[in-house]
Amino acid sequence: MFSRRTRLIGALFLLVVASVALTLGSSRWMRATRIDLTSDRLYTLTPGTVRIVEKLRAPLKLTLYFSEHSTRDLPQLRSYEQRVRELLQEMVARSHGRLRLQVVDPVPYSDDEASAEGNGLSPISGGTNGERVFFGLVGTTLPGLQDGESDGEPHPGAKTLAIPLFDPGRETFLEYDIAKLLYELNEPAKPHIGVISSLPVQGNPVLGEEPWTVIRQLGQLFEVKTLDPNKLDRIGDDIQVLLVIHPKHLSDAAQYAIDQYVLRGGHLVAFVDPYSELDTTPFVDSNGVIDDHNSDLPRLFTAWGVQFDPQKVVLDRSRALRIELADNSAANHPAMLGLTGQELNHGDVTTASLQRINLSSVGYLDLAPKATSRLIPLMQTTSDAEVVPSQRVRESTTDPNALLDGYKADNNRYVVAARVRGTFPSAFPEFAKRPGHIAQANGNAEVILVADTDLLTDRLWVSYSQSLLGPLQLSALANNGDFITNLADNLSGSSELLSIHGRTSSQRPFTRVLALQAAADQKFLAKKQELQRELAVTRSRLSELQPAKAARGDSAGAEQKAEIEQFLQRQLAINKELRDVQHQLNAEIDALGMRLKFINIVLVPSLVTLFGLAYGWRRSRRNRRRA
Amino acid sequence: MSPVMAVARRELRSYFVTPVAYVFLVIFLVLAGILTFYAGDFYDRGQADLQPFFVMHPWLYLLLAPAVSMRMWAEEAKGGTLELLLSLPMTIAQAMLGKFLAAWLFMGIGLLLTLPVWITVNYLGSPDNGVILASYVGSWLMAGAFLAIGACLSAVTQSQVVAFILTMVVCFLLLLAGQPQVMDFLQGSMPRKLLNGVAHLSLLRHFEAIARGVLDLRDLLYFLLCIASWLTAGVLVLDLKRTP
Repeated sequence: MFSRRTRLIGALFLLVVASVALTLGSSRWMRATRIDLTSDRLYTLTPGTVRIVEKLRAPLKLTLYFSEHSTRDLPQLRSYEQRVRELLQEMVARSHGRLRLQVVDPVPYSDDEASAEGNGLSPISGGTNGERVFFGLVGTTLPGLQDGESDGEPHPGAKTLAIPLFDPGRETFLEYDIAKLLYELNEPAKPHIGVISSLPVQGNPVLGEEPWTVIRQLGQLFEVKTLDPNKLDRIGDDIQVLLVIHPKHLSDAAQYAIDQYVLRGGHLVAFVDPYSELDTTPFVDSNGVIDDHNSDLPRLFTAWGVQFDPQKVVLDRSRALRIELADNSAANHPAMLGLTGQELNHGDVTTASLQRINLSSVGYLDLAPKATSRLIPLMQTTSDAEVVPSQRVRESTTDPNALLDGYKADNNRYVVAARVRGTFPSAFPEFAKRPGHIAQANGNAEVILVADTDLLTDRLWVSYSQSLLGPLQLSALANNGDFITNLADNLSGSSELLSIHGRTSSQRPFTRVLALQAAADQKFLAKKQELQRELAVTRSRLSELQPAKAARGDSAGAEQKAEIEQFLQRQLAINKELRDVQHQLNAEIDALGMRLKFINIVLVPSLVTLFGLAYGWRRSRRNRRRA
Repeated sequence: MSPVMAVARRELRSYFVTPVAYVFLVIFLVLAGILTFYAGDFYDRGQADLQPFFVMHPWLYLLLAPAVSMRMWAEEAKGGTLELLLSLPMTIAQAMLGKFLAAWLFMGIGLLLTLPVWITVNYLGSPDNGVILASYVGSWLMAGAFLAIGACLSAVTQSQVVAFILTMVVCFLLLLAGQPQVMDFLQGSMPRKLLNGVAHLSLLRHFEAIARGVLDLRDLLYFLLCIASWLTAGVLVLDLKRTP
């Protein structure tokens, strides 16, 4: 038989083979069982995505195009590709075989490259040797075969959708983007949304104006139908959600159509405004008719138990947006609000995950006395708000600071957007005899009311920028678009997508350093203002001396010269003071950094050394004593 | 007390009776601090996470783990105490496990002493502490893998220096496997499947996967398998050396 030595060598050899095989096997064949410790559960599919994946009707083929070869020098993109691939694999694992994933490396001049381009992927330049980099996803529907199997090839009439480029800058929306692609591929038809608007939300094709971004975003998920309020007498049941934007001079017929739609269980979102800034109607037209650019639905609001004053605007100086004025200076505009997460309802699915909504010249909603409806606020101002006539806001467009004159906070949080729920009666009881008239909602009806229309305009939430990875890109400054999509999603019943919206960004800044910086900026600004005032006083004294010079001759000239000299001296001194202030403020931040470095690099190791020395000394003393 | 725990206790105590343990700990802490704050630009990048700290760990361990593990068996063999140890009423496996546990706990103490970095980042902002916890787990597992490799290679030779260098080379290779540069280099000379296999053996890849904040059973299993295999190999090597 074999000697013990041979057996041991054999065992060593077997061990090597077994451990390599086990390592490779476990990586390859074991299903991912993981504990996601990230606070935002970044690597765990949200229940919304899981439901979308599980509800897939027909098999889908996903092709992830990633230029493996051209991205050797782009480690950031490579690690992002891994994140994308893992997410897709997780979705495939949960799809009961209805999702197939293929990863393709579209090498230059290959058929794969042609198919990537053909499917609408946008390549970016900057790969190794200047090659183009493809990094996008194409989803195609496959015919569902009898046995649930499919040949994996697209068939005629297949629906194909693509994510042209996975931009690492959009990582927080990664899951949403993919889930949206799957949702759209799975839906035979998009839900219908009706829009009644007196603002140019659809753009103007004649002038080459595109629809507003909110409408374009809605158009990706829904079939958006524009309804003409002048011809409206009934809203069809095919409309899942009705958006009424800035309703002005709506005919009774149109209002009745809306009234009955709501009572039938239809979903309405109404945007009214005490001052709509994109309303282009002349304030006084050729017939002398005055238009305040406000909108209201008084009859319907009364029926729903809601109060709204179209002549009143809410100011909130704590949430004032900083805007640039015509003279290049900047000022806080108390009628333009940037509401933060604190002012948004965390308990409502439509606003829970939003961080910021920008609004302008907003009104407020309240329940009428004796109303039986319930008003659930979605957005509120802070308690540092004040209500002023809309005219004051219109008059202070060039000087928003005027709105702060005599500002007196009401200590009241005004409701800017809300759900209103109740067993609404019809606002048109006189039509009771019409066939099919509904006098009262059967069970709870619900409408969502927003007291601003400007939040829909691009200027409040969209900026266009040149992205690092491609052509002109839209980026959102606030969640206004998400809010509208959330409303439509929620009301049209596809609430799965909702839970995936707006995951928190992985950016976690040093808040303490930022606070130091902010305090420093404030101190610097205060000092600057103080010094500027001082300079202004000197300057005015100087100009006072100007006319006196001519009258009093040379002696005044000498006085003026001295004053100018003094002024210049003071200006120099002030500039130095400002520099010193700035330097001192930066020094605070640097000093904090130095303290932290000292603690981590010097203090802790020193303590370990001291402990070691003390322990060693005690030991040697004990040993000596024993000896 | 089980023989494993007895050995672990004795070994751990032996670390602290000589200045060596303190020197190791101080070097580890100073290097970790300098690399995090200067090479990793921890403060100036202004992000409340410990990525610059953990990203340096594999390279720190590459230096320190072989230094801790080199004396494990090589010293016993050279000093002639190996035979004495093996004559005690316990198996080689128990002795191996005890020694390994002591070294692993020692590295764990080193890691625990870096907690001021964690306090610092929590003082500066609100980091994702789940990710930090996962990174600590990943880092300690990686230290364990390095030490297990060191334990085996320390059994191979009588010279501590040779054990140190061997361990460093093996750990370095395991770190490099799966790195994009290495994969690119090997791309032409290897079939794709084999290449993927090499990538799966990479220590760094599994550590990075855990440090993202996800404890994947496959990554945990990789480290445990790695530790178990190298320790078993060490036991076989010791047995082989004892067998005439």
